[in-house]
Amino acid sequence: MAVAPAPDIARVLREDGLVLDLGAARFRVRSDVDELVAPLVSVYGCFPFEFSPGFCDVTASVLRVRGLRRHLRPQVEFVVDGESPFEPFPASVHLPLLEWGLNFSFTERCTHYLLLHSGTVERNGVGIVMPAVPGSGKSTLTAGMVGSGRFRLLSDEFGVLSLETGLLKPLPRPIALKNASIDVIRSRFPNVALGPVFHGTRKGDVAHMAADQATVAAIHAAVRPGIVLFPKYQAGAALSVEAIDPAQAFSKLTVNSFNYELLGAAAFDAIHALVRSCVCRRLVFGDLDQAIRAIEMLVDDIGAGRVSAGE
Amino acid sequence: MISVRAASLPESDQGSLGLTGGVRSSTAPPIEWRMTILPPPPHLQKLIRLLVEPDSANNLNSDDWDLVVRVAGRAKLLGTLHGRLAQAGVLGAVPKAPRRHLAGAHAFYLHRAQMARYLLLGLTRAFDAMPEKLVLLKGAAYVAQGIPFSVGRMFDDVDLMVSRGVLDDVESRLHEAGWLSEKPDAYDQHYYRAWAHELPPMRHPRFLLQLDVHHTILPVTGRLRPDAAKLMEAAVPIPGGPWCALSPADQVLHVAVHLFQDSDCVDRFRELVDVDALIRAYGGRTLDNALPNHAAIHGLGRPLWYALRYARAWLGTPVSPELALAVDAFAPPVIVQRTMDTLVHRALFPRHPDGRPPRRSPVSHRFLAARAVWLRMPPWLLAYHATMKSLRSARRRPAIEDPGDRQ
Repeated sequence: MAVAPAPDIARVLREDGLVLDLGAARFRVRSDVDELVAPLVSVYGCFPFEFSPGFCDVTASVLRVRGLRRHLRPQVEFVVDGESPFEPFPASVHLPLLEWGLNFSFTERCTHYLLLHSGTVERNGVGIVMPAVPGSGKSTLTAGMVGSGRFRLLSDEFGVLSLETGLLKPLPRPIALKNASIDVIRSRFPNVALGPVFHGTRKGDVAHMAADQATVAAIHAAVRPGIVLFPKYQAGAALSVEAIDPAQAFSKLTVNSFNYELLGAAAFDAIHALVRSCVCRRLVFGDLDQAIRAIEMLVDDIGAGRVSAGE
Repeated sequence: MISVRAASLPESDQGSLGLTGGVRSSTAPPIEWRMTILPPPPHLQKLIRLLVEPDSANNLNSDDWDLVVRVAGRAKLLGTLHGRLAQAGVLGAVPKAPRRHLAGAHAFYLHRAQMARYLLLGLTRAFDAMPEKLVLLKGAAYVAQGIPFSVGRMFDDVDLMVSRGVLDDVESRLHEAGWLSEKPDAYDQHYYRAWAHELPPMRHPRFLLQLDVHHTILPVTGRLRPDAAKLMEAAVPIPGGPWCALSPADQVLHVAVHLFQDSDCVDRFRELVDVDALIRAYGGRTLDNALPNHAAIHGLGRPLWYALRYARAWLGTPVSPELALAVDAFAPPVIVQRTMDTLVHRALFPRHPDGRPPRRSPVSHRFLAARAVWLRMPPWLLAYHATMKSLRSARRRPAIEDPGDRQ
């Protein structure tokens, strides 16, 4: 595997592209935006940078928009296989655009997995799937769990379930933290590597939390799911962890999946197996630290045999 | 980024389609692109070879698969490719990572085919006890017929053709069953009913796919007016349901006119793949006789000539000497041939996936778009339609779209 020394990354991005093996999928990234190099290195720094040819699941670029307007109001656009699925963004929003684009392309192209819109982490060999709607605090909770050092990041955005093995595949791309979450994580975990803050994007302020060495070393270690947890952040709420009926968990997961309908019977079987084999809980929290401790205890209870699926 | 100009034009031929020279059967040696027409652009050549010679899967490395999967995705041929490789028993030759993309496209197809069958089941009730023929077109027909080549083939909607005489009855039955028109606008309704070959598209909350009800296969205002009654008459029943499909020759003609009479050809390579697939599936003496005959009856010889010319040139479609000779009677003048060769070559194939989306459509594409409109409606109607459209859009100009809405 050939590794590009840092000064060459701008050139690699302009030419063949930088290949990032992120576990569940290989991405090839290209760009002619030199300002993207430093932030890219800051959030993907622990991944081996390859510039090897070979098959990639997604090949995508962030490119400057050409034309006269670039002198007045420079813009960048996301291009995947010759198409621009989004309108251009202001040139300063390059990394968030790349991240959103890669998420989008992954869901479009890697439909051979059952894809859940979930944060996923692992502790002591127990995979935890946290399906949630936007705004439920999924990314912050995932970032907090990972930042605490007691959970391994699989993904803050996707539950990637292999239909062949029923295991969760890691896809530890940078965690996108928004607005107040950025300071919540920074103040609690001063040691986590955060990329630069991008102000005034469509989703407000965005900063990306990088995966650490240990996470990257384990990108091909798939995990058996053990907990399905539906988190809900409510300001000032007391902590509550309640059992949820597997049938209800099933129907919530079908709605949460990106490609449940498309995969038909295979997806039905996969989600059925998931809720059968997992401890299903609903978590309401107002305090991040309490929530993390509660989840840790749940994992310990499973490890000690005090809790098992179906209870 | 990669030039699509793979070779210069070889020495001139005699202005014939080139169908009569070097005719091959399906057992002929591997396809060779050595016509008077430019070969397909290099980024498509491996994909094409895989489609018509699936065994070539054994010769590809992982770089090749990277390009093939991306190009096939752009051309909407990934599912078709899965079907061809699976039927040839060579899926195992595909490395695991690209094979999963093929499998993903196949799952997409299975879902679409299921949705189409579900929709047809719903329609069966709506059309209960209707004596007239109900003819499925293209994708839905292939699914209902269970034609092997269509396994994996992408399609977006269900197309149904009925006689114009029963159109009102069909429409009221559909409304009764809960189907709603996609174009509630009065002018759009008028446009479809007066000048198109179909009703405005319809949707139903229970069914995923859109339904298009046709009464012929080309706009009634167009230069070519196929005889819809004869198409209906020749349609053949599909066993196991109330549906019919166009006769094999008419299926080929339908794809040919759709591509070369009623479209700008841009990015429509997969329709040429359909032409090739139909001829390979139906090929034989019966088709060789019926195809030029039907083309003559319906006045569709020219689009058929184009379809066979390019299918043979770029996909190595087996065309018998008899068929080639008969269809050469429909050839356009040499100057038109040369122009179309160049324009179609530039427009038909998907762009290289490493390229950027063009900011403006190329001149060749605009020529072909103008040609399609010219063939679709007389100038006075075009002027009237364009005026109406621009007046109407000026009257209710929409608010400027939020640029981030689509992420």
